[in-house]
Amino acid sequence: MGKISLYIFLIIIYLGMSRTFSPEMQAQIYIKNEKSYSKVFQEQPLSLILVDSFKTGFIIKSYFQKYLKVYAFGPTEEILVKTSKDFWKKNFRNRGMSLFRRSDNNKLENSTPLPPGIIFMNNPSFGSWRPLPSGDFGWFFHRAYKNFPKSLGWGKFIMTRSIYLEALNYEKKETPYYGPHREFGEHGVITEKSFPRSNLDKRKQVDFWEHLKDILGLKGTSIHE
Amino acid sequence: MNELLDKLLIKVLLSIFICLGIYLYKYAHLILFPGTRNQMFKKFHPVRNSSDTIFLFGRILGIGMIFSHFYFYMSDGVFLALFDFILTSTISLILYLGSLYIVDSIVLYSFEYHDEVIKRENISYSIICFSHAIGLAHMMQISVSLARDNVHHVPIYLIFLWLFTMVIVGFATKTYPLVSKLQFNKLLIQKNIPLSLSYSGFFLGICLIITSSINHEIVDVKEYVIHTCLQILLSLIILPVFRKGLILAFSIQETITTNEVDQNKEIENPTVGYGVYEGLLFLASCYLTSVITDQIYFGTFYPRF
Repeated sequence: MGKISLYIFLIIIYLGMSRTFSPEMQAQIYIKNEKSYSKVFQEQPLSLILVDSFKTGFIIKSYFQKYLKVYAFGPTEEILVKTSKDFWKKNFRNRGMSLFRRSDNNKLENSTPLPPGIIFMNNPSFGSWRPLPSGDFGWFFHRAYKNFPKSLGWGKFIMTRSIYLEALNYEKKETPYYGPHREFGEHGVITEKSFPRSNLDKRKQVDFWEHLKDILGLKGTSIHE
Repeated sequence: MNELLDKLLIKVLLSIFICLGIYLYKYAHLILFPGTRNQMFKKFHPVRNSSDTIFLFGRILGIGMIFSHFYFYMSDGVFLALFDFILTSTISLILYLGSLYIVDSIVLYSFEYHDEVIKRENISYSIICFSHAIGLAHMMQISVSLARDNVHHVPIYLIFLWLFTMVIVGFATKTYPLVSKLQFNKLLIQKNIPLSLSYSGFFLGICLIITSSINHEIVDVKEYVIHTCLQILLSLIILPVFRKGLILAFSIQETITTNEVDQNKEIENPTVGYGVYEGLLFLASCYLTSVITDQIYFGTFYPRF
Protein backbone atom coordinates (compact mmCIF):
# COMPACT_ATOMS: atom_id res chain seq x y z
CA MET A 1 0.00 0.00 0.00
CA GLY A 2 2.87 2.32 0.92
CA LYS A 3 4.59 1.69 -2.40
CA ILE A 4 1.40 2.40 -4.36
CA SER A 5 0.87 5.68 -2.44
CA LEU A 6 4.49 6.68 -3.17
CA TYR A 7 4.01 5.84 -6.84
CA ILE A 8 0.83 7.93 -7.12
CA PHE A 9 2.60 10.74 -5.26
CA LEU A 10 5.46 10.62 -7.81
CA ILE A 11 2.99 10.82 -10.72
CA ILE A 12 1.22 13.82 -9.12
CA ILE A 13 4.57 15.56 -8.50
CA TYR A 14 5.63 14.90 -12.10
CA LEU A 15 2.41 16.26 -13.59
CA GLY A 16 2.42 19.23 -11.21
CA MET A 17 6.05 20.11 -11.97
CA SER A 18 5.50 19.71 -15.71
CA ARG A 19 2.45 21.95 -15.55
CA THR A 20 4.26 24.60 -13.50
CA PHE A 21 7.65 24.69 -15.16
CA SER A 22 7.18 23.55 -18.73
CA PRO A 23 7.43 26.65 -20.96
CA GLU A 24 4.89 25.19 -23.38
CA MET A 25 2.35 24.71 -20.65
CA GLN A 26 2.98 28.20 -19.31
CA ALA A 27 2.33 29.70 -22.74
CA GLN A 28 -1.11 28.08 -22.98
CA ILE A 29 -4.20 30.22 -22.50
CA TYR A 30 -7.08 28.33 -20.99
CA ILE A 31 -10.65 29.41 -21.69
CA LYS A 32 -13.02 27.47 -19.50
CA ASN A 33 -16.22 29.23 -20.62
CA GLU A 34 -17.49 32.61 -21.86
CA LYS A 35 -16.73 34.21 -18.47
CA SER A 36 -12.98 33.61 -19.00
CA TYR A 37 -12.75 35.96 -22.03
CA SER A 38 -12.99 39.10 -19.95
CA LYS A 39 -9.92 38.25 -17.83
CA VAL A 40 -7.76 36.99 -20.68
CA PHE A 41 -8.45 39.70 -23.28
CA GLN A 42 -8.12 43.21 -21.90
CA GLU A 43 -8.14 45.33 -25.09
CA GLN A 44 -11.05 47.51 -26.24
CA PRO A 45 -12.76 47.83 -28.70
CA LEU A 46 -12.31 44.17 -29.45
CA SER A 47 -13.94 41.42 -31.44
CA LEU A 48 -12.90 37.81 -30.88
CA ILE A 49 -13.71 35.56 -33.84
CA LEU A 50 -13.61 31.78 -33.61
CA VAL A 51 -11.79 30.64 -36.75
CA ASP A 52 -11.11 26.99 -35.99
CA SER A 53 -11.62 24.31 -33.37
CA PHE A 54 -9.94 20.90 -33.13
CA LYS A 55 -9.04 18.24 -30.61
CA THR A 56 -5.79 16.31 -30.16
CA GLY A 57 -4.60 13.37 -28.10
CA PHE A 58 -4.52 9.59 -28.27
CA ILE A 59 -6.71 8.50 -25.35
CA ILE A 60 -7.12 11.64 -23.27
CA LYS A 61 -8.26 14.40 -25.61
CA SER A 62 -7.30 18.06 -25.39
CA TYR A 63 -9.64 20.64 -26.90
CA PHE A 64 -8.37 23.69 -28.75
CA GLN A 65 -9.90 26.77 -30.34
CA LYS A 66 -8.20 29.21 -32.64
CA TYR A 67 -9.36 32.82 -32.42
CA LEU A 68 -8.76 35.89 -34.48
CA LYS A 69 -8.37 38.88 -32.19
CA VAL A 70 -9.49 41.97 -34.10
CA TYR A 71 -8.44 44.98 -32.07
CA ALA A 72 -9.04 48.45 -33.47
CA PHE A 73 -5.73 49.96 -32.34
CA GLY A 74 -3.35 47.08 -32.90
CA PRO A 75 -2.51 44.29 -35.30
CA THR A 76 -4.93 41.41 -35.84
CA GLU A 77 -3.64 38.31 -34.05
CA GLU A 78 -4.32 34.59 -34.28
CA ILE A 79 -4.52 33.03 -30.81
CA LEU A 80 -4.60 29.32 -29.99
CA VAL A 81 -6.29 28.51 -26.69
CA LYS A 82 -7.07 25.37 -24.75
CA THR A 83 -10.65 24.97 -23.67
CA SER A 84 -13.05 22.69 -21.82
CA LYS A 85 -14.84 19.89 -23.65
CA ASP A 86 -18.29 21.37 -22.96
CA PHE A 87 -17.36 24.84 -24.16
CA TRP A 88 -15.63 23.37 -27.23
CA LYS A 89 -18.74 21.34 -28.13
CA LYS A 90 -21.05 24.27 -27.44
CA ASN A 91 -19.18 26.49 -29.90
CA PHE A 92 -18.27 23.88 -32.50
CA ARG A 93 -20.92 25.21 -34.90
CA ASN A 94 -20.02 28.85 -34.22
CA ARG A 95 -16.93 28.95 -36.44
CA GLY A 96 -16.54 32.31 -38.13
CA MET A 97 -18.67 34.03 -35.46
CA SER A 98 -17.65 36.69 -32.99
CA LEU A 99 -17.83 34.98 -29.59
CA PHE A 100 -16.75 37.95 -27.50
CA ARG A 101 -16.96 41.70 -27.94
CA ARG A 102 -16.00 44.69 -25.88
CA SER A 103 -17.00 48.23 -26.93
CA ASP A 104 -14.67 51.19 -26.52
CA ASN A 105 -16.89 53.82 -24.91
CA ASN A 106 -18.54 52.12 -21.95
CA LYS A 107 -16.54 48.83 -21.91
CA LEU A 108 -19.73 46.85 -22.48
CA GLU A 109 -18.98 43.17 -22.92
CA ASN A 110 -21.05 40.53 -24.66
CA SER A 111 -20.46 36.89 -25.49
CA THR A 112 -23.52 35.98 -27.56
CA PRO A 113 -22.33 34.47 -30.89
CA LEU A 114 -22.95 37.10 -33.59
CA PRO A 115 -21.51 37.81 -37.05
CA PRO A 116 -18.00 39.31 -36.72
CA GLY A 117 -17.55 43.09 -36.60
CA ILE A 118 -20.93 44.07 -35.12
CA ILE A 119 -19.04 45.89 -32.34
CA PHE A 120 -17.44 48.30 -34.85
CA MET A 121 -20.71 49.04 -36.66
CA ASN A 122 -22.83 52.13 -36.05
CA ASN A 123 -19.76 53.74 -34.49
CA PRO A 124 -18.80 56.94 -36.41
CA SER A 125 -15.16 56.54 -35.32
CA PHE A 126 -14.83 53.48 -37.56
CA GLY A 127 -17.10 54.13 -40.53
CA SER A 128 -20.48 55.33 -41.77
CA TRP A 129 -23.77 54.11 -43.24
CA ARG A 130 -24.17 54.71 -46.92
CA PRO A 131 -27.31 54.10 -49.00
CA LEU A 132 -27.39 50.98 -51.18
CA PRO A 133 -29.35 50.47 -54.46
CA SER A 134 -31.61 48.05 -52.56
CA GLY A 135 -32.83 50.95 -50.42
CA ASP A 136 -31.06 49.66 -47.30
CA PHE A 137 -27.92 51.20 -45.83
CA GLY A 138 -24.54 49.49 -45.94
CA TRP A 139 -21.69 49.87 -43.46
CA PHE A 140 -18.42 51.17 -44.89
CA PHE A 141 -15.26 51.53 -42.82
CA HIS A 142 -13.09 54.68 -42.95
CA ARG A 143 -9.86 54.57 -44.92
CA ALA A 144 -7.82 53.98 -41.72
CA TYR A 145 -9.73 50.74 -41.16
CA LYS A 146 -9.87 49.65 -44.81
CA ASN A 147 -8.45 46.20 -43.89
CA PHE A 148 -11.24 45.46 -41.43
CA PRO A 149 -13.64 43.75 -43.90
CA LYS A 150 -10.81 41.35 -44.79
CA SER A 151 -9.76 40.80 -41.15
CA LEU A 152 -13.35 40.23 -40.08
CA GLY A 153 -13.86 37.72 -42.87
CA TRP A 154 -16.57 39.72 -44.66
CA GLY A 155 -14.72 39.81 -47.95
CA LYS A 156 -16.99 41.57 -50.46
CA PHE A 157 -20.10 41.01 -48.37
CA ILE A 158 -21.73 44.29 -47.28
CA MET A 159 -23.27 44.37 -43.83
CA THR A 160 -26.55 46.25 -43.93
CA ARG A 161 -28.40 48.19 -41.29
CA SER A 162 -31.20 45.57 -41.23
CA ILE A 163 -28.67 42.83 -40.45
CA TYR A 164 -27.15 45.02 -37.76
CA LEU A 165 -30.52 45.73 -36.12
CA GLU A 166 -31.51 42.08 -36.26
CA ALA A 167 -28.19 41.13 -34.68
CA LEU A 168 -28.84 43.59 -31.84
CA ASN A 169 -32.25 41.99 -31.26
CA TYR A 170 -30.67 38.55 -31.01
CA GLU A 171 -28.00 39.96 -28.69
CA LYS A 172 -30.72 41.19 -26.34
CA LYS A 173 -32.34 37.75 -26.38
CA GLU A 174 -28.85 36.19 -25.87
CA THR A 175 -29.45 33.92 -28.89
CA PRO A 176 -26.85 33.27 -31.60
CA TYR A 177 -27.51 35.01 -34.92
CA TYR A 178 -26.00 33.54 -38.10
CA GLY A 179 -27.11 36.19 -40.63
CA PRO A 180 -30.30 36.40 -42.75
CA HIS A 181 -29.34 33.38 -44.89
CA ARG A 182 -26.98 31.69 -42.37
CA GLU A 183 -23.98 33.22 -44.14
CA PHE A 184 -21.93 32.94 -40.92
CA GLY A 185 -21.21 29.99 -38.63
CA GLU A 186 -20.48 26.36 -39.58
CA HIS A 187 -21.28 25.74 -43.29
CA GLY A 188 -22.02 29.46 -43.78
CA VAL A 189 -20.99 30.70 -47.23
CA ILE A 190 -18.88 33.58 -45.92
CA THR A 191 -17.30 31.54 -43.11
CA GLU A 192 -16.34 28.67 -45.44
CA LYS A 193 -14.67 31.16 -47.76
CA SER A 194 -12.87 33.22 -45.11
CA PHE A 195 -12.14 30.71 -42.35
CA PRO A 196 -12.07 27.17 -43.81
CA ARG A 197 -11.73 24.39 -41.24
CA SER A 198 -8.14 23.14 -40.94
CA ASN A 199 -9.19 19.60 -39.93
CA LEU A 200 -6.13 19.27 -37.72
CA ASP A 201 -7.84 16.50 -35.77
CA LYS A 202 -8.64 14.56 -38.93
CA ARG A 203 -5.10 13.85 -40.01
CA LYS A 204 -4.14 12.91 -43.53
CA GLN A 205 -5.01 9.25 -44.06
CA VAL A 206 -1.90 7.37 -45.16
CA ASP A 207 -2.55 4.22 -47.15
CA PHE A 208 -1.04 1.28 -45.24
CA TRP A 209 0.14 -0.59 -48.36
CA GLU A 210 1.77 2.56 -49.74
CA HIS A 211 3.49 3.03 -46.39
CA LEU A 212 4.70 -0.61 -46.41
CA LYS A 213 6.00 -0.23 -49.97
CA ASP A 214 7.79 2.91 -48.90
CA ILE A 215 9.47 1.13 -45.98
CA LEU A 216 10.52 -1.85 -48.11
CA GLY A 217 11.79 0.43 -50.89
CA LEU A 218 9.37 -1.05 -53.46
CA LYS A 219 7.96 2.32 -54.47
CA GLY A 220 8.71 2.84 -58.20
CA THR A 221 12.33 3.97 -58.08
CA SER A 222 14.02 2.71 -61.21
CA ILE A 223 17.75 2.74 -61.89
CA HIS A 224 17.25 5.22 -64.73
CA GLU A 225 15.66 7.85 -62.44
CA MET B 1 48.87 9.59 -50.86
CA ASN B 2 50.31 12.64 -49.11
CA GLU B 3 46.93 13.35 -47.52
CA LEU B 4 46.63 9.77 -46.31
CA LEU B 5 50.07 9.90 -44.75
CA ASP B 6 49.28 13.24 -43.16
CA LYS B 7 46.06 11.88 -41.63
CA LEU B 8 47.88 8.79 -40.42
CA LEU B 9 50.52 10.96 -38.78
CA ILE B 10 47.84 12.97 -36.93
CA LYS B 11 46.16 9.76 -35.78
CA VAL B 12 49.47 8.39 -34.49
CA LEU B 13 50.11 11.67 -32.67
CA LEU B 14 46.67 11.50 -31.07
CA SER B 15 47.27 7.89 -30.02
CA ILE B 16 50.50 8.99 -28.37
CA PHE B 17 48.61 11.76 -26.60
CA ILE B 18 46.03 9.27 -25.28
CA CYS B 19 48.85 7.00 -24.11
CA LEU B 20 50.40 10.00 -22.41
CA GLY B 21 47.07 10.68 -20.69
CA ILE B 22 46.94 7.09 -19.48
CA TYR B 23 50.57 7.31 -18.31
CA LEU B 24 49.77 10.50 -16.42
CA TYR B 25 47.01 8.58 -14.66
CA LYS B 26 49.81 6.78 -12.79
CA TYR B 27 50.68 10.06 -11.09
CA ALA B 28 47.03 10.95 -10.56
CA HIS B 29 46.67 7.53 -8.88
CA LEU B 30 49.39 8.56 -6.44
CA ILE B 31 47.52 11.77 -5.60
CA LEU B 32 44.23 9.89 -5.14
CA PHE B 33 45.78 7.03 -3.15
CA PRO B 34 48.94 8.42 -1.49
CA GLY B 35 50.03 5.13 0.12
CA THR B 36 50.52 3.28 -3.18
CA ARG B 37 53.82 4.81 -4.35
CA ASN B 38 55.86 1.60 -4.14
CA GLN B 39 53.11 -0.51 -5.70
CA MET B 40 52.63 1.89 -8.63
CA PHE B 41 56.26 2.23 -9.68
CA LYS B 42 57.36 -1.38 -9.39
CA LYS B 43 56.55 -4.06 -11.97
CA PHE B 44 52.88 -4.92 -12.25
CA HIS B 45 51.96 -8.63 -12.01
CA PRO B 46 48.30 -9.09 -12.90
CA VAL B 47 48.44 -12.80 -12.02
CA ARG B 48 49.34 -12.02 -8.40
CA ASN B 49 46.56 -9.54 -7.74
CA SER B 50 43.53 -9.83 -10.06
CA SER B 51 41.68 -7.36 -7.88
CA ASP B 52 44.17 -4.62 -8.74
CA THR B 53 44.00 -5.57 -12.44
CA ILE B 54 40.22 -5.09 -12.50
CA PHE B 55 40.58 -1.80 -10.63
CA LEU B 56 43.31 -0.41 -12.89
CA PHE B 57 41.86 -1.53 -16.22
CA GLY B 58 38.44 -0.15 -15.28
CA ARG B 59 40.01 3.27 -15.08
CA ILE B 60 42.05 2.83 -18.25
CA LEU B 61 38.86 1.83 -20.09
CA GLY B 62 37.12 4.85 -18.57
CA ILE B 63 39.82 7.22 -19.81
CA GLY B 64 39.57 5.62 -23.26
CA MET B 65 35.79 6.09 -23.25
CA ILE B 66 36.17 9.81 -22.53
CA PHE B 67 38.55 10.24 -25.45
CA SER B 68 36.16 8.37 -27.75
CA HIS B 69 33.85 11.41 -27.95
CA PHE B 70 36.47 14.00 -28.80
CA TYR B 71 36.72 15.77 -32.12
CA PHE B 72 39.75 17.19 -33.78
CA TYR B 73 38.66 20.15 -35.94
CA MET B 74 41.46 20.71 -38.43
CA SER B 75 39.72 23.41 -40.47
CA ASP B 76 41.00 26.20 -38.16
CA GLY B 77 44.57 24.94 -38.27
CA VAL B 78 46.57 22.32 -36.35
CA PHE B 79 47.55 24.61 -33.51
CA LEU B 80 43.99 25.62 -32.61
CA ALA B 81 42.73 22.05 -33.04
CA LEU B 82 45.48 20.77 -30.76
CA PHE B 83 44.88 23.54 -28.22
CA ASP B 84 41.11 22.84 -28.06
CA PHE B 85 41.73 19.11 -27.84
CA ILE B 86 44.32 19.38 -25.07
CA LEU B 87 42.27 21.92 -23.07
CA THR B 88 39.02 19.94 -23.22
CA SER B 89 40.69 16.59 -22.65
CA THR B 90 42.72 17.86 -19.67
CA ILE B 91 39.63 19.35 -18.04
CA SER B 92 37.63 16.18 -18.76
CA LEU B 93 40.35 13.96 -17.31
CA ILE B 94 40.64 16.05 -14.14
CA LEU B 95 36.84 16.10 -13.73
CA TYR B 96 36.61 12.37 -14.42
CA LEU B 97 39.17 11.54 -11.77
CA GLY B 98 37.43 13.98 -9.42
CA SER B 99 34.09 12.26 -9.98
CA LEU B 100 35.66 8.84 -9.36
CA TYR B 101 37.13 10.11 -6.11
CA ILE B 102 33.81 11.64 -4.99
CA VAL B 103 31.66 8.59 -5.86
CA ASP B 104 34.16 6.17 -4.28
CA SER B 105 34.17 8.37 -1.16
CA ILE B 106 30.35 8.37 -0.99
CA VAL B 107 29.74 4.68 -1.70
CA LEU B 108 32.86 3.10 -0.19
CA TYR B 109 33.30 5.58 2.67
CA SER B 110 34.28 2.86 5.17
CA PHE B 111 36.72 1.08 2.85
CA GLU B 112 40.29 1.98 1.83
CA TYR B 113 41.79 1.15 -1.57
CA HIS B 114 45.08 0.15 0.04
CA ASP B 115 43.44 -2.26 2.49
CA GLU B 116 40.89 -3.78 0.15
CA VAL B 117 42.83 -4.08 -3.11
CA ILE B 118 46.51 -4.33 -2.15
CA LYS B 119 46.25 -6.18 1.15
CA ARG B 120 42.97 -8.14 1.08
CA GLU B 121 42.66 -8.53 -2.72
CA ASN B 122 38.92 -7.90 -2.46
CA ILE B 123 37.59 -8.59 -5.97
CA SER B 124 34.13 -7.45 -4.95
CA TYR B 125 35.54 -3.99 -4.11
CA SER B 126 37.36 -3.89 -7.47
CA ILE B 127 34.25 -4.83 -9.45
CA ILE B 128 32.36 -2.01 -7.75
CA CYS B 129 35.18 0.44 -8.60
CA PHE B 130 35.19 -0.93 -12.17
CA SER B 131 31.47 -0.19 -12.57
CA HIS B 132 32.05 3.31 -11.13
CA ALA B 133 34.81 3.89 -13.69
CA ILE B 134 32.69 2.74 -16.66
CA GLY B 135 29.45 4.45 -15.56
CA LEU B 136 31.09 7.78 -14.79
CA ALA B 137 33.10 7.67 -18.03
CA HIS B 138 29.88 7.24 -20.00
CA MET B 139 28.40 10.20 -18.13
CA MET B 140 31.50 12.31 -18.80
CA GLN B 141 31.36 11.29 -22.48
CA ILE B 142 27.82 12.68 -22.79
CA SER B 143 28.75 15.82 -20.81
CA VAL B 144 31.68 16.49 -23.16
CA SER B 145 29.55 16.09 -26.28
CA LEU B 146 26.80 18.29 -24.78
CA ALA B 147 29.26 21.02 -23.78
CA ARG B 148 30.90 20.85 -27.21
CA ASP B 149 27.53 21.24 -28.96
CA ASN B 150 27.25 24.69 -27.39
CA VAL B 151 30.48 25.72 -29.19
CA HIS B 152 31.13 28.67 -26.84
CA HIS B 153 32.12 28.39 -23.17
CA VAL B 154 32.83 24.65 -23.48
CA PRO B 155 34.88 24.40 -20.22
CA ILE B 156 32.22 26.32 -18.26
CA TYR B 157 29.41 24.10 -19.53
CA LEU B 158 31.55 21.04 -18.86
CA ILE B 159 32.15 22.05 -15.24
CA PHE B 160 28.46 22.93 -14.79
CA LEU B 161 27.35 19.54 -16.20
CA TRP B 162 29.90 17.74 -14.07
CA LEU B 163 28.72 19.45 -10.86
CA PHE B 164 25.08 18.84 -11.77
CA THR B 165 25.57 15.15 -12.57
CA MET B 166 27.68 14.63 -9.46
CA VAL B 167 24.85 15.89 -7.25
CA ILE B 168 22.36 13.55 -8.96
CA VAL B 169 24.73 10.56 -8.83
CA GLY B 170 25.47 11.26 -5.17
CA PHE B 171 21.79 11.10 -4.28
CA ALA B 172 21.11 8.14 -6.59
CA THR B 173 23.82 5.92 -5.07
CA LYS B 174 22.17 6.31 -1.68
CA THR B 175 19.03 4.57 -2.99
CA TYR B 176 20.73 1.17 -3.39
CA PRO B 177 19.33 -0.21 -0.10
CA LEU B 178 15.83 0.61 -1.40
CA VAL B 179 16.16 -1.55 -4.51
CA SER B 180 18.30 -4.40 -3.19
CA LYS B 181 17.88 -7.00 -0.48
CA LEU B 182 21.63 -7.21 0.03
CA GLN B 183 23.45 -5.51 2.90
CA PHE B 184 26.16 -3.51 1.18
CA ASN B 185 28.82 -2.90 3.86
CA LYS B 186 28.43 -6.26 5.58
CA LEU B 187 28.74 -8.28 2.37
CA LEU B 188 31.56 -6.15 0.96
CA ILE B 189 33.69 -6.91 4.02
CA GLN B 190 33.04 -10.62 3.27
CA LYS B 191 34.36 -10.07 -0.31
CA ASN B 192 30.94 -11.13 -1.60
CA ILE B 193 30.95 -11.24 -5.43
CA PRO B 194 27.11 -11.39 -5.87
CA LEU B 195 26.88 -8.06 -4.05
CA SER B 196 29.35 -6.44 -6.44
CA LEU B 197 27.46 -7.82 -9.46
CA SER B 198 24.16 -6.57 -8.10
CA TYR B 199 25.62 -3.15 -7.28
CA SER B 200 27.35 -2.90 -10.69
CA GLY B 201 24.02 -3.46 -12.46
CA PHE B 202 22.42 -0.85 -10.22
CA PHE B 203 25.13 1.76 -10.76
CA LEU B 204 25.35 1.27 -14.54
CA GLY B 205 21.54 1.43 -14.65
CA ILE B 206 21.35 4.77 -12.82
CA CYS B 207 24.14 6.11 -15.03
CA LEU B 208 22.06 5.17 -18.11
CA ILE B 209 19.01 6.97 -16.72
CA ILE B 210 21.02 10.06 -15.75
CA THR B 211 22.78 10.27 -19.12
CA SER B 212 19.52 9.91 -21.01
CA SER B 213 18.02 12.64 -18.80
CA ILE B 214 20.86 15.12 -19.27
CA ASN B 215 21.22 14.40 -22.99
CA HIS B 216 19.33 17.38 -24.42
CA GLU B 217 20.32 20.78 -25.74
CA ILE B 218 21.31 23.49 -23.25
CA VAL B 219 19.58 26.70 -24.31
CA ASP B 220 18.86 28.20 -20.91
CA VAL B 221 20.51 26.74 -17.78
CA LYS B 222 17.38 27.10 -15.60
CA GLU B 223 15.16 25.40 -18.18
CA TYR B 224 17.78 22.72 -18.69
CA VAL B 225 17.90 21.88 -14.97
CA ILE B 226 14.09 21.73 -14.76
CA HIS B 227 13.82 19.57 -17.87
CA THR B 228 16.47 17.17 -16.54
CA CYS B 229 14.74 16.89 -13.14
CA LEU B 230 11.44 16.18 -14.92
CA GLN B 231 13.09 13.51 -17.06
CA ILE B 232 14.51 11.83 -13.94
CA LEU B 233 11.12 12.00 -12.26
CA LEU B 234 9.53 10.45 -15.35
CA SER B 235 12.15 7.70 -15.28
CA LEU B 236 11.27 6.99 -11.63
CA ILE B 237 7.64 6.54 -12.72
CA ILE B 238 8.45 4.29 -15.71
CA LEU B 239 11.19 2.18 -14.06
CA PRO B 240 8.92 0.12 -11.73
CA VAL B 241 6.66 -0.68 -14.71
CA PHE B 242 9.51 -2.41 -16.54
CA ARG B 243 10.90 -4.02 -13.39
CA LYS B 244 7.53 -5.48 -12.48
CA GLY B 245 6.82 -6.31 -16.13
CA LEU B 246 10.04 -8.31 -16.53
CA ILE B 247 9.37 -10.23 -13.30
CA LEU B 248 5.80 -11.03 -14.38
CA ALA B 249 6.67 -11.87 -18.00
CA PHE B 250 9.20 -14.54 -17.03
CA SER B 251 7.51 -15.59 -13.76
CA ILE B 252 10.74 -14.82 -11.91
CA GLN B 253 10.95 -16.35 -8.42
CA GLU B 254 13.50 -14.21 -6.59
CA THR B 255 14.27 -16.69 -3.81
CA ILE B 256 13.83 -20.42 -3.38
CA THR B 257 11.23 -19.94 -0.64
CA THR B 258 7.68 -18.94 -1.62
CA ASN B 259 6.88 -17.50 1.80
CA GLU B 260 6.11 -13.79 1.35
CA VAL B 261 7.68 -12.80 4.70
CA ASP B 262 10.91 -14.58 3.77
CA GLN B 263 10.89 -13.00 0.30
CA ASN B 264 10.93 -9.49 1.73
CA LYS B 265 13.75 -10.25 4.19
CA GLU B 266 17.33 -9.20 3.58
CA ILE B 267 19.40 -12.01 2.09
CA GLU B 268 22.29 -13.00 4.36
CA ASN B 269 24.28 -15.18 2.01
CA PRO B 270 23.37 -14.50 -1.64
CA THR B 271 24.34 -16.80 -4.46
CA VAL B 272 26.08 -15.57 -7.63
CA GLY B 273 22.82 -16.22 -9.48
CA TYR B 274 20.94 -13.84 -7.23
CA GLY B 275 23.55 -11.10 -7.62
CA VAL B 276 23.56 -11.47 -11.41
CA TYR B 277 19.74 -11.50 -11.47
CA GLU B 278 19.38 -8.37 -9.30
CA GLY B 279 22.01 -6.44 -11.23
CA LEU B 280 20.82 -7.39 -14.69
CA LEU B 281 17.15 -6.89 -13.87
CA PHE B 282 17.87 -3.34 -12.72
CA LEU B 283 20.17 -2.64 -15.68
CA ALA B 284 17.63 -3.97 -18.20
CA SER B 285 14.79 -2.01 -16.56
CA CYS B 286 16.88 1.17 -16.59
CA TYR B 287 17.83 0.70 -20.23
CA LEU B 288 14.22 0.14 -21.28
CA THR B 289 13.20 3.17 -19.20
CA SER B 290 15.78 5.35 -20.94
CA VAL B 291 14.40 4.16 -24.29
CA ILE B 292 10.91 5.31 -23.31
CA THR B 293 11.86 8.62 -21.72
CA ASP B 294 14.39 9.63 -24.34
CA GLN B 295 13.36 8.34 -27.72
CA ILE B 296 9.66 8.94 -28.30
CA TYR B 297 9.05 11.77 -30.71
CA PHE B 298 5.52 13.07 -30.99
CA GLY B 299 6.14 15.09 -34.15
CA THR B 300 3.24 17.47 -34.79
CA PHE B 301 0.72 15.28 -32.95
CA TYR B 302 0.33 17.94 -30.27
CA PRO B 303 0.06 21.65 -31.15
CA ARG B 304 2.98 23.91 -30.26
CA PHE B 305 2.46 27.32 -28.66
